[in-house]
Amino acid sequence: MAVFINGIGSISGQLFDTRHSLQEFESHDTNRITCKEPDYKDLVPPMQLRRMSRVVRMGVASAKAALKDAGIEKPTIITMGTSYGCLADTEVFLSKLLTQDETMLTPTSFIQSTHNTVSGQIALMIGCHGHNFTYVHRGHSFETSLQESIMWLNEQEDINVLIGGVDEMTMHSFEIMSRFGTFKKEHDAFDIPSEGTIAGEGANMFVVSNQQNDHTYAEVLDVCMCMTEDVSTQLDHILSKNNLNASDINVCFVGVNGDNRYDEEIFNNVSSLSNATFAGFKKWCGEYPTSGAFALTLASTMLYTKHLPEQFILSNSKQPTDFNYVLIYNHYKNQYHSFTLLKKLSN
Amino acid sequence: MNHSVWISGLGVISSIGMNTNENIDSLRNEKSGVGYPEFLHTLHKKDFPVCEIKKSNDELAEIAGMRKELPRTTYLSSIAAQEAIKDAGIQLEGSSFRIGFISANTLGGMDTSEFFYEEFLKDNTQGHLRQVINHECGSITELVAKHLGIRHFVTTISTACSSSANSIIHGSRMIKHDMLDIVIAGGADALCRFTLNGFNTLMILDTEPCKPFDENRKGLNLGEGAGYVVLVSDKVKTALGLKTYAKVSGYANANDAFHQTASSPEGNGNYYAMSQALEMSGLNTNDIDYINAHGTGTSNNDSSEGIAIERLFGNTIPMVSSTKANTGHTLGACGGIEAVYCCMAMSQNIIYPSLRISTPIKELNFIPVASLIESHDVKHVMSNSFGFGGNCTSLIFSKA
Repeated sequence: MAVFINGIGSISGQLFDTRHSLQEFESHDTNRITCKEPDYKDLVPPMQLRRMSRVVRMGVASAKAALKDAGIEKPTIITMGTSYGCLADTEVFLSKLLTQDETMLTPTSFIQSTHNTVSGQIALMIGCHGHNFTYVHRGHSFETSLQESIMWLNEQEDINVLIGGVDEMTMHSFEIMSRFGTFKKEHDAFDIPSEGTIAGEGANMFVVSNQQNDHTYAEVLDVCMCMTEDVSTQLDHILSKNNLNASDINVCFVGVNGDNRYDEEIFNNVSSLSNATFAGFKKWCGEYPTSGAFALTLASTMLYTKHLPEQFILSNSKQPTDFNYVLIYNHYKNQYHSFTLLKKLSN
Repeated sequence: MNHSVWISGLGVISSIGMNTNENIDSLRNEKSGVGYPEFLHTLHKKDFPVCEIKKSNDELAEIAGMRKELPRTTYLSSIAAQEAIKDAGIQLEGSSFRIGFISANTLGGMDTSEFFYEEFLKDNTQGHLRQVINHECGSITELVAKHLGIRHFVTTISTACSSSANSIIHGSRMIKHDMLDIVIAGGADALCRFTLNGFNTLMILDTEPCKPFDENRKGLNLGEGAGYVVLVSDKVKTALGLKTYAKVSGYANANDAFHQTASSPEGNGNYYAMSQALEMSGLNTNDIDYINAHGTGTSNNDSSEGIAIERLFGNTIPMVSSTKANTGHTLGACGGIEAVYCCMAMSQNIIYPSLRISTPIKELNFIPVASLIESHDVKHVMSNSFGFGGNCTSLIFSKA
């Protein structure tokens, strides 16, 4: 059963329209990219918006944008991925609990701290009673929701599945991860070869369905996930399972993140894709566990518009001559690896 | 897609027992784990009784065979998962089958993060990083999966109190889709200050031992634990000649879409989950012998769940009980723990009593089972788990 991406809602470090050709993105010269939040008033009623924390707002609004983009009111099923869940609410409740000696606490931030708050709030807002899951498996959270949507579309016809990946970066999480040596020095840009990556966040939602229509961006052929030791076998596996050779991939979006401890190894993992144009994406969204969802937004937009600006192409790579098969190879902390295989629409 | 999914191994740890047999003995003997906490670090030690496992983190680390100073949930998850694998008698190492570990939790390494944060808030260069490195829910699963030696497929689900029931759904679905052959599915959660204080702000913690399905119920007692089942395909069952406790005959997840933390008065989400699970199983309402209810002891849950049960089952309401009076509400672990209890109810032909009901809920037309029923042929069991975010799950197990 074919799986099509029919709608996208994307909130990231960039403001762009997924229905138009990708334009040159603004470059950042800091070690942290925060989301550019859109005007929410067309997406979420102001009264509801006020009660939502930032990550819930981004998640719910991008979900609404994806549904609108796909031209549907309500999906049949909702399945999300988030590694950190609602961090800001968690931090607020935890801080108060500790500073107020477990007294005089209020429920709001506790209620919103649950990991399935975004998927639950989407269901609540649009009255969706269907299956509603949230995966929280670090760098595989989003890809697991995509994998589950493919299973649903193999089980049932004529359904729409809303999937997505959402994670926020807070001041505290940025400070803590900085202490782990995760990020570059403050004014090291992405392209400076140094230890560490740049911090990111985002909310990217998709409506997937069996039905191809005028709104369809691309076809999803497959997704698979693995840990470091199985990367090369998984790449071979996803290609052979879909009757493709390494040379059939036209464009490969690679999750290189500017960290000179990993980038060469990550690039080498896909060096067998002999005809592929290699493109990056983390320079524009930063590094975060569900960044694969942003890569899917870029890849889908590229397949819809058949255009990839020079800016995205990694050095030593040529402009793609075709867009038949696109592979997203992402990793998180060089532990969680995933491959997502897309195909251009056959019209 | 029509492959059967069988349960071949069980593992559980809770305040009423360190393994399956101890848990079932406690349920038979109406033993409850409720009491004031010894190990939970809180200023509310004498305010709220909880269902705590009376072992320190170091003792649990030793039982689990893991290093010290990891989050408590890691040890609970590891201990119960190891029991389930051992019970199934499956050798994971060198196995040619595709093996998955699908685990749930709601708080990750929150218990150690709490200690980190205490120092970090005073000075952001302070706090031991080892106490926060496993904060993410997925970290717990990753640590346990590595310890068990599972890497073919590993994931973590977090949908509040229905989390581990949803692990069982996802594991079953992956076997039906022929994506995996064996799945260890369930979940774990340890007590921590975050949840105790959080549930306190919602004013749904009972200051006494909880009494699910009693007219005068005052709220829930929090608990901790872990529960896992080993799910296997037909192929594995035959090839390895495994024993089977039950078949996973139906499951469904639905959303109440009513409120972030409260159930709709008519229990819509509960009703959809139960009716869709029943539809999948192909059974009739009068085929269900026992419902292990979510039954937390809160005014809202027990009333909505009871009404939804009446809506679905009409005049043929099966025997119903909640084992949360024994174990407390173990959040992300309860679906896994109660799945183990359901399998054992079928294997021992018993139905567990619902403790501390002195006045049944007036608005409901059924009275939960009040004392142990033995020698009853329990063929089909329904297990309910409902959580925040309107997340409602119902599972149906059938005697193998």
